[in-house]
Amino acid sequence: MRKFLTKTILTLVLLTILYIPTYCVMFMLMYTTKEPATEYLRTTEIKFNEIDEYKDIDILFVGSSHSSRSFDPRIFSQHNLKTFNIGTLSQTCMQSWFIIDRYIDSLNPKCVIIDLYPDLMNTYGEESAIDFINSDFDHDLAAWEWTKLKMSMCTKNTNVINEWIYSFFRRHILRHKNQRQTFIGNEIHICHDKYIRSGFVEKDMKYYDLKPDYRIDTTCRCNAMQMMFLNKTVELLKKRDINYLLVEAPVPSVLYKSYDNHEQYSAKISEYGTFIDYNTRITLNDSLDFYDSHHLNQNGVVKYDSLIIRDLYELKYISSVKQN
Amino acid sequence: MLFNSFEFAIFLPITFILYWLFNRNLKLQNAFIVAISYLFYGWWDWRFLILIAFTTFCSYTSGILIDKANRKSQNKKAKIISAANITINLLILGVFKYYNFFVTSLADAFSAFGITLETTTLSIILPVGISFYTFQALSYSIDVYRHKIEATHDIIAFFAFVSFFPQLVAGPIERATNLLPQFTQKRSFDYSTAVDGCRQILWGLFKKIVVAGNCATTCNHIFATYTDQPASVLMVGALLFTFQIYGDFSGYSDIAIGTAKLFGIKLMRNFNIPYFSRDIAEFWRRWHISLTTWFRDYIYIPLGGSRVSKAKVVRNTLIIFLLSGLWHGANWTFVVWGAYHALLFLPLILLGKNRKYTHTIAEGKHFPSIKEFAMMLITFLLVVIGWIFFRAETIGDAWHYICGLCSLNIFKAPYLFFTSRKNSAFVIIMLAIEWWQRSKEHGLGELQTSLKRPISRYILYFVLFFSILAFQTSDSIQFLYFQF
Repeated sequence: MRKFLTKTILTLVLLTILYIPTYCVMFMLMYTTKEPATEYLRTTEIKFNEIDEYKDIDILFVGSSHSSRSFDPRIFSQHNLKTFNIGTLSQTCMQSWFIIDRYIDSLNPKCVIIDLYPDLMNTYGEESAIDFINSDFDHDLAAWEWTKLKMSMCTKNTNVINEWIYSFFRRHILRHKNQRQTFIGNEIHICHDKYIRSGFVEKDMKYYDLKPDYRIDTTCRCNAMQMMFLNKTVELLKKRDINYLLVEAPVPSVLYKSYDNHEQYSAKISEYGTFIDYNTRITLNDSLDFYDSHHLNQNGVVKYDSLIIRDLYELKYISSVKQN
Repeated sequence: MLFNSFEFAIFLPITFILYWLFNRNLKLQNAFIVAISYLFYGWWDWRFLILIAFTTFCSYTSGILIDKANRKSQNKKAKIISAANITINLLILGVFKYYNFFVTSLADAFSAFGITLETTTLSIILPVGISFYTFQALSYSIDVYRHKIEATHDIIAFFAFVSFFPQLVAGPIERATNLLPQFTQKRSFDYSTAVDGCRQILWGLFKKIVVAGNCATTCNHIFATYTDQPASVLMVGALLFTFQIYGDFSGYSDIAIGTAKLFGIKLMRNFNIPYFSRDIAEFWRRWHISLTTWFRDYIYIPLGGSRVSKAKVVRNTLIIFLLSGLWHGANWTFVVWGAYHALLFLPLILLGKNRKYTHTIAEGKHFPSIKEFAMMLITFLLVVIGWIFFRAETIGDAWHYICGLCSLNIFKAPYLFFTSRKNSAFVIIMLAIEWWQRSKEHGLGELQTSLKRPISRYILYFVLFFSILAFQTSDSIQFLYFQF
């Protein structure tokens, strides 16, 4: 028995040690252009490279692209509110927790708005983890690598862990870096996307053609891992006496109506704090206020942000709102 | 819990060590098996543990009662108890798996005559592996009734027999005559069996994660868009599903058998290189052996088997193939799949040629003869066509898919050829290893005799280990046979 255990462990260690360099070399040879394409606006990378410039903000936004493409700092600054939006591509509660835990001291927000998109509540955050893994950050490289590794492990997905191994090799052994994108004024403009300082991503004005997405599952489900991270986030904010609001950004009515158990979902989320489903608070036009089946265009952003500012004022989460 | 999950990678070594620590006390060891098996199953949905416990308890009690009646020569009483147990188990299976199917089929049948039936379907989840453990529990009470085995009074051993986690959710469907005595005897750790178990797990993971997972990605796309695809692509789709289902199910069986070996338990072989069969009868002796022999022993032979009139042979053959189809799922596509195989099998059994090929192909040779190769190829293609019915959502879809195949552009190189190069490479590796090891119990069986130098063995382990970790897809996760 002892011989078997020793031999099995040694074999597994040996195979793993051999696996890592073999994987890196093989994929380096197979995919010489594995770095993200330069024409792609790497908003996550830009966002976390500018985050260190922000201290003592009023509102911190977290969540998926529903957050990063909905909360425009220019609208909030009209109300003397200093904000930062750390919403990223398909960000789930798991990633949100890692980021909040890391930046809560330096950003020191008065209020945190957590966007919860139902379709991501039953995932393990694979897409978002890959987004973080492929981003090159300028500061705290060791801490970032550790955060990325933790995110990868939480996904329990071998492909994501492989992605981390290769990106580590690419960054630290091959010394390959993504091409830097520089601000022109307060913006970085690539293709149809515009990154605005403070973390907002604006799409060129476009209207939704009302073509619905193909969706397999129309039931809102929340897996235990995401709920655990949401709970950890909420506990952290409560411990620090920071106001937080759980929100669901408006989506086209065709998508919203496709959920068959949204009421139960809302009730479940409400157990973690004040939850506002803005699909029931605001009436938007599916075509005129959205640019695709998920995201608000600038018309919708203005309407949504104005309403959320009013709500935050009414909830007394912020006190320095200028009334228009 | 899935065999290819992180949870299982932690679960297995912990339970393995604890299990052998309890080795001095058989009852404690069996109780530990029951506990970890229920944990393994409950990881998916703990509510359905009640169902397994109920099924197990019914079979355990009926076994004792049947045995008692047998001893007193009360044949009628034994028959009634056995029939009651079979009815209860089949009722549970029927409600959870077939109720909605039969209700909607009945309503459809009536609507064809212009009669509208008011029907109510149940909104229930299909318990994972219900067909597997129900059949296993049933085989015990039937064997007790037939005096093949004595009823056990050791309730813990019996619960361990029904719920033994490696084979609980997707087989092999074990017989009480083979598995139950292993839970009533003291088990000892055997180094070479454990090593063989590890090799079999590695081989199973390769088939499941690498072969089935990668084939599934392309295959799912082709089946979802089959109306827009040329014949050559449809052929690729059918071939990929053929290897997907084999990699998926035989991979699961290999992991299950290998895991059981680590616990000192020997499970029956479930697959024996079925795609190297020379006729359909041989295919069915090599494909899902535990289910095929179950139907043979508990339905076909009691009906008279092949030692009755030709008309009855036809009836018996049709019954077991149709039931086998229906066992796989509550859909007419599975019934048609069963009927298709029955039609291929019937000429062989009627001509008395169904046991022509019982030995391994090309025994003692490197390659098959041209005749053997041609027979293998024809059998394989017939099986591929059958899988289209198995994979399609409806019979109509399957029919249109087959019609789509009947086109001259089947000879054009499919545009998906280059994107499925990786799949082809994995399939070729799998087939090559299985051919090379065809006389062994599994792809990596008795490897020390096939590859005498340790370095060669370690290179092979590394290739498989590397492929498993590097070439996983999102389709590698779920097991197809869980739905049955």
